[in-house]
Amino acid sequence: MADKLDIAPRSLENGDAGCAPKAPFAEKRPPCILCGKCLEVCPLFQATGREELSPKAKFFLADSLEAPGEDLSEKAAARLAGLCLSCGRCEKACPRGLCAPHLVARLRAAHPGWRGHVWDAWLSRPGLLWPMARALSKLVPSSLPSAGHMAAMDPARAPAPFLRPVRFGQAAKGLRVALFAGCMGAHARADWAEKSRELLAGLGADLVPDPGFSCCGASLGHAGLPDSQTAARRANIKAWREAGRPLLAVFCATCRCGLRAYAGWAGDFEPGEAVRFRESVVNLPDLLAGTEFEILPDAPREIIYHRPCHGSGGDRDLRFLQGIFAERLRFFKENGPCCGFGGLMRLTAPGLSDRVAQRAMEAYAPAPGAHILTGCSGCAVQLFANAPPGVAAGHWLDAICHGGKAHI
Amino acid sequence: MLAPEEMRVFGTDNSRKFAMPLAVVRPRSLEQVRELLAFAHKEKLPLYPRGRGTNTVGACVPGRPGVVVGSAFLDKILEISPEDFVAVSQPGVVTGTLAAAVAEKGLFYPPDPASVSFSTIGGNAATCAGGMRAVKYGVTREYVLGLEAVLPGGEVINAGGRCHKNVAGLDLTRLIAGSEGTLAFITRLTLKLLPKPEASASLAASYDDLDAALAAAANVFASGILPTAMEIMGEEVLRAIAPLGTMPWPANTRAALLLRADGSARAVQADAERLGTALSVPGLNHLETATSPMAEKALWDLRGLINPASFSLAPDKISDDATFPRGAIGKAIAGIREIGRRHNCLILLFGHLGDGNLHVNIMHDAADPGEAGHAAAARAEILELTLALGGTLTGEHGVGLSKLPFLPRQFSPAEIALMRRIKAAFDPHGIMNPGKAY
Ligand SMILES: Cc1cc2nc3c(=O)[nH]c(=O)nc-3n(C[C@H](O)[C@H](O)[C@H](O)COP(=O)(O)OP(=O)(O)OC[C@H]3O[C@@H](n4cnc5c(N)ncnc54)[C@H](O)[C@@H]3O)c2cc1C
Ligand code: SF4
Ligand code: SF4
Repeated sequence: MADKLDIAPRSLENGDAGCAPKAPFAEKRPPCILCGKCLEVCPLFQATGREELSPKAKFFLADSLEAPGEDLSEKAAARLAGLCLSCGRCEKACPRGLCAPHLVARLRAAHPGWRGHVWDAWLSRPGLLWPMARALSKLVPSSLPSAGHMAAMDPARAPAPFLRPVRFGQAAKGLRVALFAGCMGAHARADWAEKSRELLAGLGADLVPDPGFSCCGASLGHAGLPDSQTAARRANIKAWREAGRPLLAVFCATCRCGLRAYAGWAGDFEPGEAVRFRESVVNLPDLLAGTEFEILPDAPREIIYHRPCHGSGGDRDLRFLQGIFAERLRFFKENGPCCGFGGLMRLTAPGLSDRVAQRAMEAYAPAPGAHILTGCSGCAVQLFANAPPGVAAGHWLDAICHGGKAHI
Repeated sequence: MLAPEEMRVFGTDNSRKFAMPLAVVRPRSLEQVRELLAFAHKEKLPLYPRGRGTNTVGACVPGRPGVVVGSAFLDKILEISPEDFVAVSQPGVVTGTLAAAVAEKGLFYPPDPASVSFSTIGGNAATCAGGMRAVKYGVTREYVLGLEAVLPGGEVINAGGRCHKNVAGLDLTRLIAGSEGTLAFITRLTLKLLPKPEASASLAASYDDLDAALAAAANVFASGILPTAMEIMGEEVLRAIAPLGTMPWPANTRAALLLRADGSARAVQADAERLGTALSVPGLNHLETATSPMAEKALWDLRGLINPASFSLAPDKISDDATFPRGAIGKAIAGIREIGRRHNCLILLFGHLGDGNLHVNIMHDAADPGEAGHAAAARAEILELTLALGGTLTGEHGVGLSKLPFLPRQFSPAEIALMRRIKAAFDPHGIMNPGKAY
């Protein structure tokens, strides 16, 4: 059986910036030249106008910490520099290729705060998500996801679907595929995973029983928890290997990006295996190539595509949705807004995270009744929580009918 | 803002010089600026206006203990008037944002420093920023019709207005534009707009040697066309960017010119043809004309490679923007090359050939005392050469701290004293950006 898939060579992709430290927590980087180019792209700076939150401020501060004789509080510096959405946009803009998520991960790793541990527990034991959230609310109210985020993680609150597959393509027929559902898909939005399995079944893929994957590790890395990240990666590689190295179908851009980053990591791959692992990570929409969908009559007139910061490489989700909605789909050709979810920052600075989200909503200016779709679990939750009244937002899987049937 | 961790970035700019501010404030209204300037005047407290700190000369560094005054929260475009052909803006608006907003109304704000998308209109006015289009359209000062500014003490002045011609009184508007924050804090700018040109075309021409490129450039002006932009890239630059992309010209190219023409579609077509003829001098080895936005962008992206490429050559650079009378540019380039050879320094030469404004990047490793010494010596000689050829120390970046020591070579004591007396008339206690510019 051919586990090869005819999709664009992945080496051509960009857009994986900031997903995961390439050489995790390496010390050496060129100094920031303070040119200010990154101010143009940093969503946190854009939403606040506060230069102290900009990438250049983070690098300048970090450089100062390393300089002798500076009267700076390391803790305060790490906290300030840690206000970062880990979106990776600065790295793409910077003439020196400086990557704030990398720096922030290192600072966090050097000063593991209590909240870092919380996030660790949150993501590495996601079964505890709800009890944990409740427990946390008593200790640190700001760490509790907002009511909006809670609702976003409740499948019952998802907007009504409006897409039904009518004919499946051949791209995945007979391929051995395991679903990598990610934390959100495995523990909060099991309906996304369920729909994905239904689609894979419809495609005629040879669906491997759940190998028991862990978190992809991207958010753990950004949160400055290299040990947890390594443990998660190890567990995933082992599960993949034991399942007979199937393709890994992913429906979350951040997970996809996080998994692809394994290949650049000197982990415990066997010779040649790293490349195979990277090649095995496929985007669910790619497997859906050639599948035809019916747009139900109740579908919103305006559909907006939100491009995730992570792993937008090649804009596969966009092309998939364009294929379905054609002219009805609105999107930014480039430099679309960031949702502001930002992993750990969602917990440590929810106010800033919301500000970025509001800015995104201003940029999209959705008409009443519009539906914002995306291909990242974190973005989906954040957009749902911040959409103005009358506007729906979620993962593109939310738009798909369960069981291939419309809810009538 | 008082926390040292937060304030740190406000103590520096693209010069990478640094001093810790006493405090950072970001006023949100004219009233707040007035209160601040009244207070600081009374207390003789130095103030350091700041846009986004992208200036390259240390103009934002709070050398004497004082307060940094950021314009970040004064960031509204107040009006765009297609009737009067003016835009009214607060100083913290990013110039590129403003230019895009006026373009949407079919209007045009021409000044386009390379930092256009991440520097502010207030900073551009205070430094009188230039840009690629300066050959044809001039620099920022020529587009500032009026200014509202607050003087030390809190008094508000409204210089100029929204008329495109105005000769009443001394021209305070143009005095404040380019004053590097040493006279007053700008709170509102009224900017001149033009009708948006309908079309543009770009040309790339490359040559076997520098003299051929300079002859071609002279031909361009002689042909009766003023191009929108005319940039040159020297041999060292071409070598540096070659690994970063596919170059349109052959490998033995020693100099390349990039030009743009704009105007009505028919005029642009005719101009592009005439420019092509003018550029075709002996030594030309490649000529290309781009008329679609995508093709034009591909050509101009080549210039954008210079900055990233430069860092692959050496970790540090001293960058100057020496500017020469147009006719002296050939001698200037030859002289700078010679200085580089003598000091064994790699010098990247490129820039706005059209207005005689060269970017001179002396590449070196500052950690190596020998190299650093040579680079500094080369720089001093280049600045001497500039003045000897009738040039100016800076065509667009300003004096700030970095070029202050060289200023007495360009100006007589009487001239500098006069500048200081003018400053004293605005700012008797010398609190506005002290120790900078002149
Ligand atoms: C990559 C790069 C490319 C560049 N390209 C060009 C170019 O092509 N052409 C060019 O001319 N420059 C260029 N520059 C330099 C720089 O961008 C300009 O000098 C720009 O005008 C500075 O704008 P700013 O908003 O960053 O101002 P800042 O650097 O913050 O301030 C500059 C000066 O203006 C004063 N100032 C700021 N706001 C006010 C205010 N409201 N009232 C009074 N004074 C004020 C400050 O005190 C300071 O003296 C470049 C810089 C970089 C990093
Ligand atoms: S990763 Fe995103 S939020 Fe963080 S500094 Fe870079 S651009 Fe800003
Ligand atoms: S773009 Fe890079 S080098 Fe420039 S200021 Fe930002 S981090 Fe520093």
